[in-house]
Amino acid sequence: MSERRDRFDPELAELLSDDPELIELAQLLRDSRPEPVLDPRFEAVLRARVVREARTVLAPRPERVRRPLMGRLAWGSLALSAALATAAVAIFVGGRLLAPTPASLAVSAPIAGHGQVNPDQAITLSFNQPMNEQSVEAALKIVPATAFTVTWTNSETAVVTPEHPLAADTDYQVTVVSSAESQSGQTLATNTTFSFATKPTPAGAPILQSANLGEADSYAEAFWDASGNPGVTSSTAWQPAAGALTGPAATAGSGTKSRAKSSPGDASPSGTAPGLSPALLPEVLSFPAVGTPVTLSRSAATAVAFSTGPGHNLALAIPQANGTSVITVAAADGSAPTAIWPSAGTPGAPVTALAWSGDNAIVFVTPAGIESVDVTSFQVTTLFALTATGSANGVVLAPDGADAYVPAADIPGLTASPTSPASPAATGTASTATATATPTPTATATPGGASENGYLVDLMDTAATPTLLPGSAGDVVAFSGDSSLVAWVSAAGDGVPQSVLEVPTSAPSATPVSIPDPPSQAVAGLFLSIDGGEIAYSLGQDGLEVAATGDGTILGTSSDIPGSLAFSPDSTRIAYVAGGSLWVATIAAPAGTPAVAECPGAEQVLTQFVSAQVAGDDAALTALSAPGVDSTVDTPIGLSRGYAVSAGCDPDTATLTASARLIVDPSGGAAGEVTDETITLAQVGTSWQVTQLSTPPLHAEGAGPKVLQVAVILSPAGGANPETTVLVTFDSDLLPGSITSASLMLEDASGQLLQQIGPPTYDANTRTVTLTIAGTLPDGAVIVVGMSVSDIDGGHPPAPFTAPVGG
Amino acid sequence: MTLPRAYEDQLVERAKTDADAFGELYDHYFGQIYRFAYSRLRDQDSAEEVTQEVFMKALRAMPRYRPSGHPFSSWLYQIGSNAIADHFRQQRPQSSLDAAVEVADPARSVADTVVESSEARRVWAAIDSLPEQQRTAMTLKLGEDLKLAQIGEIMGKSEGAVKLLVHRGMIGVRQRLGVVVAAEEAL
Repeated sequence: MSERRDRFDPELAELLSDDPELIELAQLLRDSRPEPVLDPRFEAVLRARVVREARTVLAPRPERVRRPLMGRLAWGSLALSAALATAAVAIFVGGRLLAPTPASLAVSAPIAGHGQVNPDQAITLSFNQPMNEQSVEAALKIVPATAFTVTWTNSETAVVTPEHPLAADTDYQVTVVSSAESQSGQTLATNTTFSFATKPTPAGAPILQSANLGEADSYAEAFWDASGNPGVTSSTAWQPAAGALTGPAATAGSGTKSRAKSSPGDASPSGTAPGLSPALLPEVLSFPAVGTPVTLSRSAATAVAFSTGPGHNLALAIPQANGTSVITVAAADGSAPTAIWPSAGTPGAPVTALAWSGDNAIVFVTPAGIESVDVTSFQVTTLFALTATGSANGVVLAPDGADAYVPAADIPGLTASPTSPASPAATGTASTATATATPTPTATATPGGASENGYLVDLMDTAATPTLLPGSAGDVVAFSGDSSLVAWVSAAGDGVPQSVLEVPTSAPSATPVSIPDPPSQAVAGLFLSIDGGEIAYSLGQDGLEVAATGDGTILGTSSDIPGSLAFSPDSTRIAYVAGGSLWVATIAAPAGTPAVAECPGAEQVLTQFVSAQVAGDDAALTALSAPGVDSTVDTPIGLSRGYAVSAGCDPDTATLTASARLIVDPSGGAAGEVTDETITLAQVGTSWQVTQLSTPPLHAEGAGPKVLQVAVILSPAGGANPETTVLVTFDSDLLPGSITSASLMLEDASGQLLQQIGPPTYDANTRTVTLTIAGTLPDGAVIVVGMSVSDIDGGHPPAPFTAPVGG
Repeated sequence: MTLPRAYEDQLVERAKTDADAFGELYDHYFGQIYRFAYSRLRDQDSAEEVTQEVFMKALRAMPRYRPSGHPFSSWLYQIGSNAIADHFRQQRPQSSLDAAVEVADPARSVADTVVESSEARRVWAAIDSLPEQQRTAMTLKLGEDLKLAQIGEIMGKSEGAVKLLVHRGMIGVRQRLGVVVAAEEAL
């Protein structure tokens, strides 16, 4: 099975050329590769299985089904009408077919009857006969309207995959219309519907709404400049891609629109921007909220740092054609650049990281070591020498240049130790490296042996002994923006789960704190906010997660895979490079929180009240209601679920007006029912009570798109020119053309339209419409969703939807 | 043996609708994928399970396959790499540093320890104790002789990042073997 390798791999030879022992070891490993044990029958058996399957799977056919014409029947009312359901629709529970006779063509679905379905779950349909696949694909329908694709694992099994994650906490019906035909020409006796419900969205885990600011080199660094604007160290063009704005993204959204509308020849505030023409060469750019981007450097940089002092406060490491770097300092807007390193006549080196040390010195990293250069005298001081064979890529500098994380492999003279440190993840203790004659730490192995070790080096005290950060690795180490904390991932070992640990840089040998609820997926990148209150995890193919370090609450998730990420100075936004673009996302608070925040305590009472309604807890309802309000009478019985859709707070009157949805899930042959109620809470003393409750009777859920949630975000937090973003999430895939400022409107208490900044935008992946206005929403403001909004099946809301958003 | 690129491209295109062409792809790549799976898993049953999963997933996704400029095998390795990661998530690997400890002989240098092929095969267990991504990069480079760029395609990383992973992996192997020798010398 294997081929004899007589020649040493030239790539390995080059890669390891500076370490003959590694070359020898690599050659020995290659030559001694264990030969796999193979059952000779397996290859043939699997081949037969694969080819047999291929004869079924590879038959040419249309792969995608998007809303067949048949779906344009008034199917919503057909499917959901109790009367017709009894007459013509067979309901399946738990995947078991109730109606057809054994000889009939039948279809089943394991998902049927499940109530906690993952939004990413595909839907498998199993037929009892080989099917005419095109007829089945034309006969499929999902309510709420959902675009999907169909693949066949064999002629009897279809896998229906929604194009976007299913809506959370929502009832779904998948229907196979009776026209579905077997290969023998037999059809289903009736339309067949399977019902299931998706699980609720985890509390506090909103999907980040990111805005695309422009192109960025995949390996560029994202940053926030001295004025608090996002930027990137290497960008070849700053125009946003058409339609790239996918979310509100706070100030970035307006900035993006302003740029797109600028005229050719516009100059940037710094006078160095290239107008509207794309940059021909990569540049360092920052993106103000309004106006054109600012070119901070006409050459791309590998590292950037800002100081707050007077004079020069921008430092850049600019790579040269010969592989070395030049360190340049400039004014905050990039003007008056001055090269300060290397000095004339001295050899240069690639700079992988830099930081300001006070206002007059730059600390930087090269493969040779960590050095400091004085901005005015250009005097260079070596702070910490690195091993001659290392690349220094794993060295991470604290933003204040006072500390550095250095992987063990980059520390010269590292000696082996027979002892292993205790695992902080397991024992809660930390280990400090043993000092030798020089401040050289000893190499150690983690319990599982699954991680590299690295050390925290105090650059301000070159005599200090580096401190071991057990289990750490260069790719997953981060300092907080104020340099007070260092965090790292201690990888999973045998019987020890992955953990994220943190210590103060001022006391690195203190017992590490374990950040609660780290991701279960492998962490590929780690980023801390300014004060370390927030943490962002890059999870490789699993995307991005932002969480609070205090309690592990997830603040936002994204499927983007960031290569570089930076928190804004106020920690309310992140800038990151992913997929060749620079993105900015607001770390959105949970729905309704900005408004509810002005009515502290009301949100909890609202949640408790709706939960008590669903549970039928009359005692709790009475306790939460003001005297004279009998909530138990108005609350329907037999509820399955309920949740708040929106809330608006009026701090002047200390009242909260909320819209909540109560749901009875379909069961057996009965269709589901729903009602949208209005709840008013008022503050009585220090507590909140329900003072009004208006709950219409339950009714069959009508066809057409429905609003699942309304969230309000004021951004930037505390900024001078605030904008308010309203996010409206639907249960159905919508026709983007139906999303206009006439179909979704914001009105004040008197019914006057509030002027929106540009038309609403629609994010198909989250089914969320974004509306933005300048300033804050007035008291009593409402969102109105008109009946012209259309889903992909042509369905419209049965009535205009109105919900409070103002406060 | 590497298929001529032009022939491979034609074969891959045919395999989107032709079961026999897919069978030919299977014939050509079965050995590589099984060996890769076995190198990572060191267990015959697990390697068979992953190999089957790779070809079945590839078959189902075949109509959507788009050439990336890299050999078709990159895509299969990519599927295999994900399947192996899933396997490890479900079940921790058996090999660990402990396995490497067994092979170390304190009377010899690291290189001497590795020289004898019967022991050298077991020294590969040291690779198993490396971090996940280093392990994958090392296996593809040292076990499969793939180009760094192709490994980058498989792992979704730049060539530079793969270089770093391999370099660190090599240092890690040496360090682990060194630690083992030192540990035994101390006994």
